[in-house]
Amino acid sequence: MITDEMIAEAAAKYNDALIQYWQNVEMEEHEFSSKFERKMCRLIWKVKFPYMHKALKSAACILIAFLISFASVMTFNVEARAAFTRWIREVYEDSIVYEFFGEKSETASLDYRVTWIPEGYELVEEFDTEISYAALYQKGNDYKEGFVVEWSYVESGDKIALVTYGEEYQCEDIYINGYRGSFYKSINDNNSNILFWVNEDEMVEYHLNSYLSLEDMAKIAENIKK
Amino acid sequence: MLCYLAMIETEEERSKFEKIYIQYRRLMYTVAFRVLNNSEDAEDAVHTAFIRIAKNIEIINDDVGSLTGLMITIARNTAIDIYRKRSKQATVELTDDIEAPNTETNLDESAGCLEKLPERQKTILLLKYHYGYNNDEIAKLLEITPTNVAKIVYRAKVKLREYYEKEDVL
Repeated sequence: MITDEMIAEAAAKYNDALIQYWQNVEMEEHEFSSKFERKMCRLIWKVKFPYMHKALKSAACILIAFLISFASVMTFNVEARAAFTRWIREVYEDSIVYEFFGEKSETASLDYRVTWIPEGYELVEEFDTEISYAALYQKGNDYKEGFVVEWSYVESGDKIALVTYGEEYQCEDIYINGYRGSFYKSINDNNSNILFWVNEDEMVEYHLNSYLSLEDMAKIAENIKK
Repeated sequence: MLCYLAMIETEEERSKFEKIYIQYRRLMYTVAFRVLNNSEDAEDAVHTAFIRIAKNIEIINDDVGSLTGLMITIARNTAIDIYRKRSKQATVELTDDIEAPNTETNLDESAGCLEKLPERQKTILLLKYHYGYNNDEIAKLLEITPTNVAKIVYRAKVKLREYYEKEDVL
C-alpha cells in the first residue's frame, strides 16, 4: 500500500532533482520582445493599482482594456477602416477589439503628461516605463471620483480589448487633437465610461476610464501633451 | 480578466509578484522554450504563467528553495497547455505525454517511479504532496476543476502503485 508519506518523500526527491536539472541547464539567450514587455508592463501595472481595480470590480465597472494575443469569441461585426489608417475595430458579443497595423515612427516618444485635470483631483499613483504610462487620479476617497489614464506604444498585430461582458454602452466617434477615437458611455450609472483614441502618427493608443462627463474627459484627453 | 488582479491587495504581495517576475522570468522562458521550441509561444507561456501566479499570489510561498521548483512546474505546465492547444488547432494527433526533461541524476526508485507518470499526474502529485496545496488550490493554479484534480490524483496513485510493485519498492 502506498501512503501519503511515501508519495511526499518521492515528490520531494523528484522536486530536488528537477531543480538540480534546471540549474545545470544553460539559459536560453533571449531578448524578450517589445510585445511581451508591454503585456508584462500592463500586468505589473494592474498589480500596482489594486485599489482602482477593486473599486472597478465592486462597482461592476467592467469596461476594461488590456493587451490580448488572440480573440476567442465569434465576431459579428467588423468595422474595417480605410486602407491608409492603421487600426480596425471588431465588435464581439462581449468585447470590442482594436487591432493595429504598422510600425511606430522613429521619432515617436511617450513623453506625454496630463496638463489639465478637473478641480480637486490629484495624482495618487503613476506607473511610467519606456513603453507605457498609466496614472490614477482621485478626488477624496470615493472611487467614482477617480480616473485612470493610460497610454502605450502599439505595433502590428497588437490587439486591445475593451471588455463589456455584455453590458450596454453608447458609442460615439470623437476626435482628440485631430486623432480619431471613440467614447463609450455606459447606460448604467454604476459603470464607468471609456474614452479611447489613437495617435496614428506615433502609433500610441490612449484610454481614459472614469465616471466623468464626456466634456471633462475630452478636456483631460486634449491636454495630454508633450 | 481584471478581477483576479484585485486579489493582489497588499504591498507585500505586490512586491512579491515583481520579485518573482524579475528573478524567474528567464528560467521560466527557458523551461517553456524547451517544450514549445518557439520563442513567441514561449513568451506567451511565460505571460500566461505570470497571470496564473498573479491570481494565486497569496498561496505562493516565496521561500527561495521552494519557489524555484514551483516556478519551473508552473512554467512547464503552462507551456504544455499551450502546446496541446496549438496541436489541436493544427489538428496534429496528440501524444499522451510530452518528453520530460531527463532529471536522471540521483533519483532513487520511488522518485524514478514518480518521474514515469504522465506530466499532468506528476505535476499534481508534486503540488499536492510536496508543495502541500489542496485540490481547490491546485485547480486554481492549473485552471482545471477540483473534481478533475481529484480524479487525476486517484489515477496517479493507482499508476504509482503499479510502478512501485513492478520496481519492488513497496
